[in-house]
Amino acid sequence: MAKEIKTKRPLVSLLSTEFIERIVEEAKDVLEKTGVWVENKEGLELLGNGGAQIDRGKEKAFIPRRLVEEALKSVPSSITLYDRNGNPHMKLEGNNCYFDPGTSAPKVWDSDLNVIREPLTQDHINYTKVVDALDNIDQISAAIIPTDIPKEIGGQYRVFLCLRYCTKSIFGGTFHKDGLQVEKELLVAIRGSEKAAREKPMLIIGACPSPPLKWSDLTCHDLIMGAQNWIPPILISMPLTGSTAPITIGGSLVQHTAESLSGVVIGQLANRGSPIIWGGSPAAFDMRFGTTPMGAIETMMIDMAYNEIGKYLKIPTEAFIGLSDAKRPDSQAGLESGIGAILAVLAGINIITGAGMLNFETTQSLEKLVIDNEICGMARRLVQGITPRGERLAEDLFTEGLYEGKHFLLSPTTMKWFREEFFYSGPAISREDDQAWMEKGATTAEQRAKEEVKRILATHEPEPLDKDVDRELVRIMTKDAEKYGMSKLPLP
Amino acid sequence: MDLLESIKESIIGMDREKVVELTRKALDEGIKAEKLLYEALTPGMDVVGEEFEKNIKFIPEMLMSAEALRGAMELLKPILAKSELSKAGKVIMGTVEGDIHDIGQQIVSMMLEGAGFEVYNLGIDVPADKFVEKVKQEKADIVGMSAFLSTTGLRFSDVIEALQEAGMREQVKVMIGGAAASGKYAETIGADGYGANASAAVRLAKSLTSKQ
Repeated sequence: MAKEIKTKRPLVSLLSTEFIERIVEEAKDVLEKTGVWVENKEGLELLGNGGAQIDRGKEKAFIPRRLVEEALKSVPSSITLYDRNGNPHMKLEGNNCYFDPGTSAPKVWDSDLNVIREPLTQDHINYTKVVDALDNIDQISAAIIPTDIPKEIGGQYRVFLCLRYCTKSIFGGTFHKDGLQVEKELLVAIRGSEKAAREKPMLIIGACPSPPLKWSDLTCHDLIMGAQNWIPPILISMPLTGSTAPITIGGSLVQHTAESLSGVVIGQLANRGSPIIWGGSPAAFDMRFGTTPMGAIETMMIDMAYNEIGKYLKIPTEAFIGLSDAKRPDSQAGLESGIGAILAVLAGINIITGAGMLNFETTQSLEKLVIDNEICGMARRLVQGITPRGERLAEDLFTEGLYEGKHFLLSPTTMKWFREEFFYSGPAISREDDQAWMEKGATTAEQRAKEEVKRILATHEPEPLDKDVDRELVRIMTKDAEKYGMSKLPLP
Repeated sequence: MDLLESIKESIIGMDREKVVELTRKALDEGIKAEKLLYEALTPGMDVVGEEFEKNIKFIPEMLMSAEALRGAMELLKPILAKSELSKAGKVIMGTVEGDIHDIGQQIVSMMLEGAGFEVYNLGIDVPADKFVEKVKQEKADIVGMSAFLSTTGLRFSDVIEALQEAGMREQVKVMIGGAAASGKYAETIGADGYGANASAAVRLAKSLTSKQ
């Protein structure tokens, strides 16, 4: 019997422990000496009661080390998310990796008209159905902001659409202080009770500090309410090197850590022991165009590094990585998303947010989702690593009488492993010979992805919601829309 | 499920043992070999072929089904009329002289068998006169040649010329495949067709024989 060898999970690391410790120490210094701006009354009160020094006039809190250390002790290192049916489907801990689409795009790529345009409700419904059908996209995000509804309800309306057409857990958010209350009602309708909704969380929400070092009224409100209601907030700190954060990667990491730590403190003060996710969307600010490239290698380096810091602090992580700044799903989109997804899994980022996204996090594309689904499949396979299989690794080289002694196609070991050992990509990725490719129209990946989107929209039927639950969701959403002057939702 | 249906399902299910066992049982029960071939075995392989084209079944699975078919054919061959055996056609396959890259050629051979062709595989490094000799001996319908190297691709024309010299070029169709081949090259050297991949080669063989 051969000795059992464990499969190695490939991992890359950019920071030494010494470097991480220095970043965290400096971030604690920032919180103590520079402080953070908190434009939210409840937040300031929580921090003040907890022992931070408050400057009410300036809406500033100076957070002592002790508060940070206490918060780090109570914050959970593992979060389980559940799907719409109440089954556990994501365990955010260790180096587990899950993919979800880039979220909150104000625009969509329209592949029929070849333009970037404003999205409508139908775009979000189509998007939701496509994500529901894609195997390697684990979670759905509220990815598109429809423009045919009042702005104030945008956040909850997207969560509502995700719940109706997809069973996956949701990365959502709000644009208005009433939003999270509505989202909570939607979740209670799905689970049946407030208690059940807390016990089986299926929504995580973005809580984005404004760089540098500021919690706006809305995001701080969502952070507190999310913590209180077991709707895990994702801290999305977004330092932009040299524009809203120090120019160097190290300096930006200190700012990211300080902002995120202040979020952890507020969350733990609001509800000790509540889950929180160490996320982010930094960018290596482009000094030529004034843009925030998500496909820049330094952006990805910051993502990987802050993820390491999150792991060091034992908090589940997330990053906006695996997306692209291309304006349509072209070669640039493929290469930037491919590099990002591969680096993200090698870093062991728990939630990898990026699929489908183009144009600096502003434009979703269904075709890109289909292509990225295959990228995610390859990335996932990479970190499954190389498993020693069988008593003898090359059993077939010791076996006499293989088929005509020449190939392994009919060997039992081939039959046993040929599916499991490999990830078979397609239809966006072509691995046919040139002749077969030409016979099918000599298409590009983008064209094949478009065909696949059409196929999914024509054939994929998402699991339907219970009729009564669905009616309740529509009732909740309509009531909310009425507050802003819309009496009928623009649903098909 | 009746016996014919079970045999068909076992072909699709790649279960050689079961196919052989059921075929034997069917013959014992007095079911005609022709009926078994056309109403169970071939329809089973047709399903496998379709699923292969759709990327549902992969190469090893398709070859396993072909193996199961081969098992049944060993029982049927002594019984079937000679005309039935090679109804689809006889194919001489080989990798040309100087070339040893034959995995594609082997897959094509097995798939052709699965499609009902009688296949004689001459293996690798096959000189032109050996192709000619076998064509003559078997009265073959098709010669299928493969080459991987661009240098050995030149040998395709050697075989065609040798067939011409032997006065047999008119009786036999020539198809080529492998990395050294292309549709254009097939035209240039006067071959009857090029198969870009295994399924294309089977389609080509079927169309070449149906024209005759």
